[in-house]
Amino acid sequence: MDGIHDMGGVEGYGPVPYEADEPIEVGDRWEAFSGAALFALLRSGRTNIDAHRHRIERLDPTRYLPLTYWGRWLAAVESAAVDQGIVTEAEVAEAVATLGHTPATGRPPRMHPPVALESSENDPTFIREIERPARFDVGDRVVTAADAPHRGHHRLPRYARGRRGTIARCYPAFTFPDTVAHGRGESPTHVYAVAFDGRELWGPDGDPNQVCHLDLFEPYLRPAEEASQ
Amino acid sequence: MSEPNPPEQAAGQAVRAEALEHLLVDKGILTSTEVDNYIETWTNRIGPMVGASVVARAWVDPAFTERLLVDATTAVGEIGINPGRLERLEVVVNGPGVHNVVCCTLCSCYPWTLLGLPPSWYKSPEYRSRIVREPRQVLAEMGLELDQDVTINVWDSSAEVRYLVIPERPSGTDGLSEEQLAAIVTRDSMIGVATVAAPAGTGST
Repeated sequence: MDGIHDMGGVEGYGPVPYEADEPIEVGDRWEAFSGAALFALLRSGRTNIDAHRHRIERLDPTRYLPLTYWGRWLAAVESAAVDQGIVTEAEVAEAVATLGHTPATGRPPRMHPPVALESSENDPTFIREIERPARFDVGDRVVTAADAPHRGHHRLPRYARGRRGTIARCYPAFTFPDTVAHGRGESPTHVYAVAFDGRELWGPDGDPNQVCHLDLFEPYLRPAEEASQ
Repeated sequence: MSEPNPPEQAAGQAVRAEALEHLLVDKGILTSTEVDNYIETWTNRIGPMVGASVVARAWVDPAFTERLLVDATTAVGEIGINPGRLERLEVVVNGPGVHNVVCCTLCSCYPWTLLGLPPSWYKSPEYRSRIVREPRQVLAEMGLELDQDVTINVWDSSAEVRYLVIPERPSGTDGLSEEQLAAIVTRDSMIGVATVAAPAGTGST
């Protein structure tokens, strides 16, 4: 979908709020909950990362922008839990009313010993073996779809549509977000890092010594020769 | 710098999260220990030191760099790194005249299992919108001036591949051990918005 999330190349934003080597912490417990709850839902197969991203994309733009990254996750986790029938909106409203106070937002005491990297065999995987050979090879010239593939979830940003590029790296087949996000199967497809010159993307104002690479799924690409006929 | 989040909004989110946590625990979806472990994992155990150990090995062992370029996901296993749920890792190597920088314009994809949680600026609309359009300008604003003859490769993580930048090894570090080298590698240099400086006192120019 052509949503607020598709920010590449949008003009008007100011300086990056950069602090060199900014310290990273999961701040408040609600942020940690948002992360842990998402991974629990992923591991249980109740949602998938593509559907999660699509839930965030569908937030009203006036809500998306003021929310922090974790705020968007919390909103998406709640809607996934409701959509999956794990909780009802009424149950959430009742639980919020019952709490009736502002919980401590500080970090909880570190009571637990460090855990191993939390990968498990239940973690979702994305790479699939497929018989269909890759359509493109490194160096092939391609052109991207001129329009959005469809109005659902996809991974072809607006700034790279209808643009000519070169296959820079070939990757295995991955599950296809366009179908996975909508519960329509994995449809695994080859992925490529496609290189686009700055001027191809941004016109004469583009940086002539910039190359922008995007990881694109094969259905978004056609051979450039075919496109020019 | 933390992301702007009005206190009243954070308080509302905290209540909502606590309510949801009670419900999801009751329904057997997760445990509160998982929430505690999440904090422990992503603040103490997983962080830029993981990626830094890859960079340091690449600096001292060109054959390892070659293996990283062929199959980074497997090669990092040689130094005991489990890329976890990151199924496809790619490295991009800086060198004379070539600079790489990583972003995700559609959400905020990031190599969590090598660098930990992304910094807030990486997730900002300013970075996501501008780094693909005017990278030289944005990097200069962030303190990294690159001459016009340096090619800038931007890597927009629009699928499930994750990128790690191998920054250039600073001069004057020939005498440092692999461990000492890892200690000078910064997170920002592995995203590609900074270079690595030699430690003070190494006498480099």
